[in-house]
Amino acid sequence: MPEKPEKIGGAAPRERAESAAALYEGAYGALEETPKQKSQFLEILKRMSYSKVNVICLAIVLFFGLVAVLAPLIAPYGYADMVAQPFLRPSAAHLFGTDNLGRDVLSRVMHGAKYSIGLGLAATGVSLAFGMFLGAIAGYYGGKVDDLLMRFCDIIQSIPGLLLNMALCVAFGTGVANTIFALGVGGIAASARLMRSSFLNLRKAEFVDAARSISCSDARIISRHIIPNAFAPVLVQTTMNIGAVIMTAAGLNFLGLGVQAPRPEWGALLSGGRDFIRKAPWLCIFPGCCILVLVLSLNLVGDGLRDAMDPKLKK
Amino acid sequence: MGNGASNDAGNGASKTMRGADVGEEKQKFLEVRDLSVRYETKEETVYAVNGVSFSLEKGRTLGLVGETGAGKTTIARAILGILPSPPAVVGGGEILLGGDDILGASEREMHDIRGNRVTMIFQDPMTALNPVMTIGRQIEEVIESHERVSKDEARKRAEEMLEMVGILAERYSEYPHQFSGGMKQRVVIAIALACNPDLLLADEPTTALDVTIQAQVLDLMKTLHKKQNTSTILITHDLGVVSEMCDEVAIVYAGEIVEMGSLEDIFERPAHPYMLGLLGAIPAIDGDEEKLSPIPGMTPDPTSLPPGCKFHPRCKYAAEACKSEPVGMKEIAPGHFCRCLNLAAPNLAAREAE
Amino acid sequence: MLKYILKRLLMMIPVILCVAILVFTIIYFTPGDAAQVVAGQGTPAEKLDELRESMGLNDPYFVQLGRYLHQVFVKLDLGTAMVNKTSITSDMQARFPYSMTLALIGIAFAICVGIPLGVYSALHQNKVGDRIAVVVSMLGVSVPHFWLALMLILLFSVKLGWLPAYGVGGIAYWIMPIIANCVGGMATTARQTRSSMLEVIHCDYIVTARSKGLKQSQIILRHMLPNALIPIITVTGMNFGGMLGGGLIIEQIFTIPGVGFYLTKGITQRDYYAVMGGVILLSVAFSVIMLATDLIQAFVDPRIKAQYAGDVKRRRKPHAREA
Repeated sequence: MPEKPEKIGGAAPRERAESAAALYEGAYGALEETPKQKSQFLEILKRMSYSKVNVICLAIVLFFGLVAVLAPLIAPYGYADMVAQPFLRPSAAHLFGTDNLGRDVLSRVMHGAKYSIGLGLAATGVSLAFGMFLGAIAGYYGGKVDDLLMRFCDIIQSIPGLLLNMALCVAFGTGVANTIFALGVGGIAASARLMRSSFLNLRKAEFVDAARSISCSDARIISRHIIPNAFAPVLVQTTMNIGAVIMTAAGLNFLGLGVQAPRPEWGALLSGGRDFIRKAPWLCIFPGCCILVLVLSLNLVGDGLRDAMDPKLKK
Repeated sequence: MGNGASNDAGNGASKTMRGADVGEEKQKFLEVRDLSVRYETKEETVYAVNGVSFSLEKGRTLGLVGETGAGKTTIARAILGILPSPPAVVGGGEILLGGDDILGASEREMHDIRGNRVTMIFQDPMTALNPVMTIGRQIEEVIESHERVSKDEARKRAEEMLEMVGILAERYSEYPHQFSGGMKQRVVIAIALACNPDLLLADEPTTALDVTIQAQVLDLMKTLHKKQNTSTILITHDLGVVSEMCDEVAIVYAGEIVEMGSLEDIFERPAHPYMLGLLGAIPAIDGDEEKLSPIPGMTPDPTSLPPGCKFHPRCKYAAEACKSEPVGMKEIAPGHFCRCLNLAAPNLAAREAE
Repeated sequence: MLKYILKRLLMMIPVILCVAILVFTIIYFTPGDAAQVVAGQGTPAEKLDELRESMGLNDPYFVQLGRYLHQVFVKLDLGTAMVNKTSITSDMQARFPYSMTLALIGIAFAICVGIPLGVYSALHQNKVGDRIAVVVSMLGVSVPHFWLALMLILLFSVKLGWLPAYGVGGIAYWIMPIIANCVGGMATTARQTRSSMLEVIHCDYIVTARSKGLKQSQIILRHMLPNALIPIITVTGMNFGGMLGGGLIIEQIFTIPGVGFYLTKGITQRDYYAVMGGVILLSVAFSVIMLATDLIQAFVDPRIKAQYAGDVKRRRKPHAREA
């Protein structure tokens, strides 16, 4: 690619063309620079807070998080306590009604938050840890190792997602820890790929060349320049996926795999309520609404995060 | 090639007819009067073009010269009616093409004008072509949408256009990624000239190219200009290109034309301190200056332009009056206009320098 | 190009083989006794031993794996279901069309609704219509499809009584399953279309196209959409996988006798052979679809095609120390 000579001032023409504001002939041609982690993080938070939607969604996510953590303290009843008549309609005493065994649905949903969110977080953590490690190895060593790992990812990814998780669930058996691994292992391939590609891109980045030109050691380049910058996009991408993981977890539990009764994971609540949909629709409505609201908020926060991090919008 | 010209003879005739309606003024077929454009976003307003007026006669080449960000491209896009709106807002003015105000023309009318009567060559040929369409098809498309021709006819014309810009007609079905930057720019030129336009806007057509390729493309444009007698507005920041290609020159600074005149006027008898500064920043081959004299300071922030003369913060001749009063265009010699309150000083200085 | 297709088809074989090995391995190490499943509860221990021997369950892992692969890939036989003792291959033949119908119609809807919605959104960026479309597609992405299915049943079957809640039959039986299965795909298609259209909209060649005096519709159809299409095709391919897998739950809810329903039944009955057969079949289908998306992309974008035609296998990125 020939360098574009620019005789009077200004940035390269391509950068200019990218945003509407920059149409004003490169007045804002922003230069790519090595991001400073901390100030950049604050900057991103600040930019996110401009949008009310982001703030509200973040609040909702935090609210669900708090409910999950504090469920044993604030839930009116235990999740397995049979406290009233079965199939009571939602009322002041039982906001979400009671189920077929007379358990308080609100309490079960609150306790369920712990399982749903916990599964989502832990499984994402598993995918991240293994995926980043493998991706970094592939990106760093290249060649045969890279090929081998990437072919393995190809194979994993040629099994439709839910199907793979399901097969792993069957293999690992039921229980919380097993479900976490079943969900997490399924996501490894995707995050390994991400890590690898951002590793490879960074290697060619100009600030890495610049670091090399002032004779930084390889170790320093990798630890100070590549890892921090490779880490951020993978982390963000994967975090944005938590919503999807929570949904998959609910799906598996809905099928009767994963976390077992009487543990009130939201998918399991749906599955339990399904048989009574004619008689007591609230058994399905409320847990589903919780999944929807939480996943929606998580996705919107993820979108906001991505927009806030988009350098094209940087002023 | 001759074939190509004869094919749209009818079309060309109708164009001149349109021009003829305005009577004596038919020679001065493009007139821009007091054009203002700004870009408005939530946070700020960028004043890109502020009251620009100029005119162009048939067959002449006008050079719009200025730094990056001076508003040259905005002027060209306004003429073509392709300002990105939002954020662009036309503040006022008129653009008369053959007597019709095309600034107020409807989108439908503009479809007939764009690519047909007025066309544009873009700065970066690497990105100016649609990467998933054959180059032949991209040329053919213009012809099809403006002239009533059969598919075969359009294809033949497109192939002729390719030959005309020095690309083998066999390459009709190739894609942009198979061409080098200079070749792509030739394709862009072919697209621009396919319908034999009255006015060609060339927005830094060679900036993105290698120097040797630049010369080739400029030569090509010159040859085609002679052949088709198309009026041209050449946007550039390269004074070398201007001196080679243009008949008339307008110097743009911070969205205003600060000096305008014939090529000789501007290069031999520059009047505005900014133009003097630009010339001072060019090394002369025969000169023995030890140091170039760049213009101090930076172009003003287009969101908050200085009052008075836009150039006064950087001008070494600036007087008190320059800082507050708006400065008008003055005709300092027949056809030579300048926007400066203090015309004597720079001329004196220039003479001193000589 | 033809050579490339053949090459890709050949390359699919090892991938599918590996998928089969992977699935077999997962199932092999799953705790549980296959003989017990085949014989049913309450079979005496001697009988189980005999059965194990005859099924080859006492052979080493590699022998069993080899036998299974031989059976699947050479004899093209997925084996016999452990519980129902039916041929899995013929079961699949009967059930696969249902799953494919569900996924294909879902994809068709996702494309036909998602792309126009995304294009509209991008062209009216930040206006009311766009805002609404963005919110709706975000909802579509976030709603769990099995819950949506239940809510549809609640509304249209329980409350209104318009549509049958489960089973197969005429078109009425298909409406809810298809809606529930394709909403997510529709939404992701719309979102991807919007974002890649927005990227394309500001490209220089769109300015070129406008400067040619083309009509807006021509600019959209000839210049914007073809350039925005590549990521949309990728997403559509992924959606297809999602719908094949997600169809699993949908089929179970609506008792559609597809592969998914078969699989979930296989899981609850611990019918390992049935599960393996189903997973392999769906993976093959998914691989074929992914190959198709690659080919469509090459067809849409000559630069991708050029990479293939030039027989450039994969653009290998230079290694750090060389660079």
